[in-house]
Amino acid sequence: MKIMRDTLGLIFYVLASMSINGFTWADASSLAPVVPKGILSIAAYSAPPLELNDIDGNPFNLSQKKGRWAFVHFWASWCGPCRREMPAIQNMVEKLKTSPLVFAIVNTAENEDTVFTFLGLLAPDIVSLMDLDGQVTEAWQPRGLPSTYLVDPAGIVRYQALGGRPWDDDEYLQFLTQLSMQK
Amino acid sequence: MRELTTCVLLTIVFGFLVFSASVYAADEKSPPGFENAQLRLQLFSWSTDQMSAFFEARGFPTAMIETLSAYCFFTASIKNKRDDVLQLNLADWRFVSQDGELRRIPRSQWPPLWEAMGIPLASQSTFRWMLLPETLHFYPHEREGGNIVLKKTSVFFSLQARFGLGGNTEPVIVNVGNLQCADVAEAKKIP
Repeated sequence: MKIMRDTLGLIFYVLASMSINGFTWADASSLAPVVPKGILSIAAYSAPPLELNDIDGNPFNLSQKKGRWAFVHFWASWCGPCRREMPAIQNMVEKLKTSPLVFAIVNTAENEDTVFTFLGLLAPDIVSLMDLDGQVTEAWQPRGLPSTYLVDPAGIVRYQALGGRPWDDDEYLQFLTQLSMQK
Repeated sequence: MRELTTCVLLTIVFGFLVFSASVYAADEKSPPGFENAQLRLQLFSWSTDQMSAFFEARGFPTAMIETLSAYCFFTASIKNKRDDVLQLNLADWRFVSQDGELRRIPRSQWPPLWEAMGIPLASQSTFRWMLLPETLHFYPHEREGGNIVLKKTSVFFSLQARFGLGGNTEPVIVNVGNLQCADVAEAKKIP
């Protein structure tokens, strides 16, 4: 009896918490996402072309992913904040693997050996796109590295992240989850 | 009880020693810089050996590394501590020695040189991304960094810089003295 009472109490607590926070999975897509610290809503513009092969040689073209939100990230092994951020990105990708979010994680102007070694140490599950000559990154003109953009389903850049972010923190995961469910 | 007291005392003494050591180390190693309520700027100098090793490890062509070894490299780290925008414009930065103003090599001067030398695009791109932007509006609490390249000099010099705050607000004036190219500083340590 006590177990049943405790269980009911726990269920009530969880439901009450969800309603206080105004969040249920059912209506996630209809909510305006709460933008976490360090992510800026920017003046909208069309995403530059992003057509690259990944480190395994598979082609990727962002323009063919329209209809879904995209997480576009530029990094390099020589950049300290990239080194600190990459494990969080791997965790985030793992936690959101069932979401419709598209991930385009782009290495800027390094070779396969460098990328393979770097990711092998820090984020072995990440499959990076290879901007071998740096020209795709050039077209996106990030403020610096690392740099992350969030592109809407129509191919419009809507948000930019400043520097490295703790992408696997709950507020970022919830933001990306809600965003990915918006059309 | 006595053992517990001894243990607590030892912990306090050890903690104090560690704290003292870390403060001492921070003082010893603090790079030249400037900090006030608006911003923090730190300058880290690179020796030719450090710079060459870094670029060699990234496959930069020898000719490019030899060219770069004739210059003095600093990495600038800048944090906007304001709740508003901070404006960086390297045109408002002056590096001054007793012999006059030092020449900073702006971003625009590198691509024609690299093109003429036939440097691969990947190396050009990496070098470019490592430079501090010529202009940048720092968002509130944003931190960015990048390299500044100067004509090499053997004398001390100082940085006189100005950061805009927008509107009619007076700019932040920054002065950092006692700067040296790392090679010169290293050479002076050798008896």
